[in-house]
Amino acid sequence: MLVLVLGDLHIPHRCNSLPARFKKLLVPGKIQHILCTGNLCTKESFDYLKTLASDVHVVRGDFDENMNYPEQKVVTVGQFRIGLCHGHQVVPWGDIESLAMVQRQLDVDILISGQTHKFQALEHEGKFFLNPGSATGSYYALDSSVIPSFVILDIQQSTVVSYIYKLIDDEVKVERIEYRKS
Amino acid sequence: MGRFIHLLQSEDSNQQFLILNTARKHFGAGGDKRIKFTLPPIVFAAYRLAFRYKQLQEEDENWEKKCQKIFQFCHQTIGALIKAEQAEIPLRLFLQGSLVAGQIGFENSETVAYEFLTQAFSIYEDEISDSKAQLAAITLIIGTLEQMSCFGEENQEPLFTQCALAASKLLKKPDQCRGVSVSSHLFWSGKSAKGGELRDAKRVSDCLKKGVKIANQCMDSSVQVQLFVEVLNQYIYFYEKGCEQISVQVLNQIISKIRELLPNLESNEETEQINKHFKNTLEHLQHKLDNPETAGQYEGLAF
Repeated sequence: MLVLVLGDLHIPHRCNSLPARFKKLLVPGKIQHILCTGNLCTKESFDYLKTLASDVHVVRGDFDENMNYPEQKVVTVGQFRIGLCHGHQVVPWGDIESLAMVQRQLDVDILISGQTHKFQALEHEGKFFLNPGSATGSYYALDSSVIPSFVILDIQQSTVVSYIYKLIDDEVKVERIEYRKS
Repeated sequence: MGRFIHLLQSEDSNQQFLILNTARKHFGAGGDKRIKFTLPPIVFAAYRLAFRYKQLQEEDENWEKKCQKIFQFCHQTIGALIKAEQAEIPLRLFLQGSLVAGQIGFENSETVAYEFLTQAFSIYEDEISDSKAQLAAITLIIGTLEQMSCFGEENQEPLFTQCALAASKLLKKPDQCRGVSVSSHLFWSGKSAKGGELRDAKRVSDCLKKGVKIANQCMDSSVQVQLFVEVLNQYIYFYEKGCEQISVQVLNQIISKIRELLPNLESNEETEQINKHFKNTLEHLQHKLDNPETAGQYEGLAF
């Protein structure tokens, strides 16, 4: 099962669109679920995501126009409970221990969050913490070198393989990380 | 049209500023409905330009004055959105501006950052009346402030105190409890201009104690237990960071309180979730006890 994980697009506030090279890769019909960390920011981007897959989950980012997206969401895909939260509500931003508090509260195997515009994937106390970064590479006040990135999860039984797509110097680079449910 | 603004780019920074000014004049006349979409991108483009000036500081001795001008431009532009009866977006734009000013550190940047934060607070106090939006806004202000390191003690003190105070004045008790608990982070990892984290153990402990007190005042027993589990997690966070004012006894007290109250809750999905949250928290503590490197820290923990 393929899950597209992305967020912090910030269209139109900080960017005008996804990088062309990413758009080429995101073809409708190949992905079953989309998990978006938020900050789309408008319906236009949401509608675009709906053309890629019908099951789209979005949580509220601090700049999202739609104030009715949930603050957090839990989605079960295969054997995995996946938590989704933008992360601007988690203080300090990007702090692993504070994120772990959310993971414990939502009782999830995987916690996906955004906010920092920086890709991160790590295992912490047996759980998996993933930040897909900013799909548009949009500006973030606290980081002068934001790289556009998104993640595709391949969920098979009790293993999740994360394929990380980054746009570096106009070329798409892919990395692979495995997480096994303990 | 909002997206179009990002295509207005010039290699020359000075020209870029002129472009943004012109864009602002044109789009500013678009009417309240349109400026909601066209002015925020202009503000962000201006923030990016300010960073550019900093990068080019060797080549331009006037870069600091130019930064100042950019922030004045942004202040005015955000003001136009307020006049058009926007509140959420201007608040966020002011917070972003504060972050940017603090990061760049041009002459007077502390004053600008402070001004932008007080503007954000004004909007919070005067224009945000929905309780859910209030909690979201104060959490955002706290999250932003926690990341900033440009303020001297003189400016930091009123800002931090104002946050904790605002959190304690939220209408609903659960919101108060959560707001006050989050504000504790300001007093621990908040950074001042002189460098290093505040690590004010007493004020962290005071915030969390207040959180417990407020949770005690909640009449909905399910919400009350939920809040206790949340505050327990915050206590554990700071205990593990080495906050001297938090002892194992405090953790024991909350754990036994939760144990006492949990069985009295009605059997439903919400209670299930609270149970899992508590169980996960205890598992985390067990994990620390099992690890020889961290076991010593938790001596005296009563399971």
